[in-house]
Amino acid sequence: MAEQEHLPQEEEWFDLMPAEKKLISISLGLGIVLLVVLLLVTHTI
Amino acid sequence: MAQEAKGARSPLLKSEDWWALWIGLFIFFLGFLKITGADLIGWVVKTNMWLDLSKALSPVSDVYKGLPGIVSLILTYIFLTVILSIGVASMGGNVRRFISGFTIIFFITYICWMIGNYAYIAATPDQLAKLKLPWSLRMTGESGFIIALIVGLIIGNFFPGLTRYLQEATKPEWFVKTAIVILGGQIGLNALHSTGLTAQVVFRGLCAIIEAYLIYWPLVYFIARKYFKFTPEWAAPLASGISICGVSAAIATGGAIKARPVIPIIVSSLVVIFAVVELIILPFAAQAWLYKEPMVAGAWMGLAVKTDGAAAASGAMVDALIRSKAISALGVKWQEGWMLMATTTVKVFIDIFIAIWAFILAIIWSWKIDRREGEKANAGEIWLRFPKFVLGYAALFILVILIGKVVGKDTLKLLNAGIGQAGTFRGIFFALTFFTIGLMSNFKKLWEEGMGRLAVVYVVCLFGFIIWIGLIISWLFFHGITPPTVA
Repeated sequence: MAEQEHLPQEEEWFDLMPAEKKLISISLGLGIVLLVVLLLVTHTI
Repeated sequence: MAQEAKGARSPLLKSEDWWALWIGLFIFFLGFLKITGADLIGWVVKTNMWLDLSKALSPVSDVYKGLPGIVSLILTYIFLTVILSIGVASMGGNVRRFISGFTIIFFITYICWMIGNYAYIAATPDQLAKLKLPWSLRMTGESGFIIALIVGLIIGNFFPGLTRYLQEATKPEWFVKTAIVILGGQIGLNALHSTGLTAQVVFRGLCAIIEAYLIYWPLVYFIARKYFKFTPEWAAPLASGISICGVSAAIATGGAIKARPVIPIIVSSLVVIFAVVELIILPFAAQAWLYKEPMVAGAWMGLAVKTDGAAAASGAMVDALIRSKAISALGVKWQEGWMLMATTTVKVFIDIFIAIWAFILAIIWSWKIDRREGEKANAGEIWLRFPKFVLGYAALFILVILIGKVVGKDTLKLLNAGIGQAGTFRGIFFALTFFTIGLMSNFKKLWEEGMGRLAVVYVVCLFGFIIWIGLIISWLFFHGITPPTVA
């Protein structure tokens, strides 16, 4: 029987790496800052 | 699965990634030639919502209106078999086995899609009166995808002999990447049309999307990684699938970070199922609570409902439901189509940003998160790991906008029709993807090994905050705006 594709075995879990933490915090931070900026822009134009 | 051909073929001809790009561009080009007056793919089969089976199929173009739907279907099958077989041959696959498998896959998929378009299953509330139906399951034509998925799962799990026979043509990743390339042209066209709409709605839609991307994605990723213990390979496609735009986003992200193909495919299955759940619940919630803020409701559908078709259907339902409630509750008759426009505007920007987000993730993953031993984080490595089909999506998007800006109104109309014809193939490729996803998924195994956990993350994130953040963002950018009234 030809091998069917199954859900791949998970690699062992490891805690968030510094690069991931940076990606999360930059994205969220940028989101919050831009939220304020874009709201100001939309309500002034 | 990406299959590398043996031998000395150019890299441009030996991976599914590249072949998705070539086939997508080729189909787009055939449709594009409509601007010269040549209707080269107007014969491709279109599936209509039907009550009378004889009207379920028809050629997409009026030029071929004398052609019976079944002939159109067979022509479509022959065309796809030929171009896909060329790709399979070039990638070193077994063409004979591919053709025999693809024939079965194509026709089963198409039957599923036709069933999904039966009016009692597909019609949304705004379509019931037109079809003179007392009720329907309100699932939209996209329910055909779910039916294809279920049939695929049944075959994949209970008919191992047939599954093996179809294996050479079971290529969901290839099908969906091709669909995404074609989608680039359609999205470009939508964006082009949007520029003629109220600039305020377009600008606010763009703002809402930037916010949704930047806030949704890191939250879902963090929760999946930290609390549900998924590895980055799982968490990234899951975050894109839940937070951005479902199927396309999950696949594009999976490609960008070089996840194993089955991962974004599993995420996609969840996306489609939950999009239908959202379609059934959210428009009625919007009618109950947001009838005084119609544009907020429209944008909310675009931000919360995760597939293009389900979102557009939700927008159309919200438009119909809220306009009727406004007449009785507020004594106001709003113009038709403005709430749907808010939904589609938001959705257009979401689709555009998929490519940008995939590009950013590809760079971050190859540079920082998934650097393998001995690999250098240089431009060459980024290029090697970059999902090439994303280039096709982006190129067609830009090309259509540029051409649309310089051609006249009549040519634009032809361009619109040609891209619509090419878009019909996109729908077929999506349907093929769902059926083959089912075929290659051992459901019992999926459940045992983590599907249940994925579904829990999905429910927690979607109903825990995605829907509500989407509502807040829609409110912030769209409250106070109402459609013009009808005298």
